[in-house]
Amino acid sequence: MRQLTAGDSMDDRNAERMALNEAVFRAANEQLHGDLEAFTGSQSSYSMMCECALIECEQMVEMDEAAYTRVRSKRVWFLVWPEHVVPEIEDIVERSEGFWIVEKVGAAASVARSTAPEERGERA
Amino acid sequence: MHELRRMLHALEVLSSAWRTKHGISANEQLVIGMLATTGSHTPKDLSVFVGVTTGGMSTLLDRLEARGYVQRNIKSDDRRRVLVTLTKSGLQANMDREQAHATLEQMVEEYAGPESYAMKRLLTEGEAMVLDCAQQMSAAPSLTS
Repeated sequence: MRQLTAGDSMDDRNAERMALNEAVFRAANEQLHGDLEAFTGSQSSYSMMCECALIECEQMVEMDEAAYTRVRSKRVWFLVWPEHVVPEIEDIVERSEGFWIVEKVGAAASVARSTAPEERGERA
Repeated sequence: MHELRRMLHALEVLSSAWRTKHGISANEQLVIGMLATTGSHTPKDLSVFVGVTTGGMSTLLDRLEARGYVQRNIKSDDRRRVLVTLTKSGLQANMDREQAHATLEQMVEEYAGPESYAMKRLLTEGEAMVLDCAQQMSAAPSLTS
């Protein structure tokens, strides 16, 4: 998958491919969060993987438990490093210090829903 | 069966190319692979899995951590307890190799009926036999020692 730049157009297949890639990092974060939670009992902050669609991204994102629970409350929400956003497949819903939350739209949202882990809280 | 040897050789070549690309050793590859497939582990678990001392694992983890592939998480109320987790860099590196493995798995899945059964049996029994050989090799004294 090549990295998108501003002005690129994207069909549904590309959007789905990018969303599948992001779903891999979301699944990895769920495993990571579960492991850290079991290890520490309760931890105030976590170092999680950026769940963006940018192929070269290797960024880790610092956040607290409440923020992580919030991002996992909707199946179409993903955690990204600030500005790691692909406007063709997602909208920004929250800009926090050190991380943003984005919401998948269109074909990417369908993939996000079908690959989602168990939710904590409300359903999208 | 010459084809099987060639297949195993091809996998060795793939692993070697992957290690060269990411600048890591064979033992470091084992650690990244284990963390990616089975989740986070303690350094002690990893040392048993790889077959090195806890001191050796500590040095290995220092190198992987310095390159950003893993993180050591220390329990706040007991600093002797450590959990090793994979970073996004570590996962990305592993995914490089995983793509080839996933394609290979898909090729095996495409066999149907008795062929599929025979293939899976061969792979399962082959895995056990190879791991057994590795264990015996690790336990045996080196010819040069």
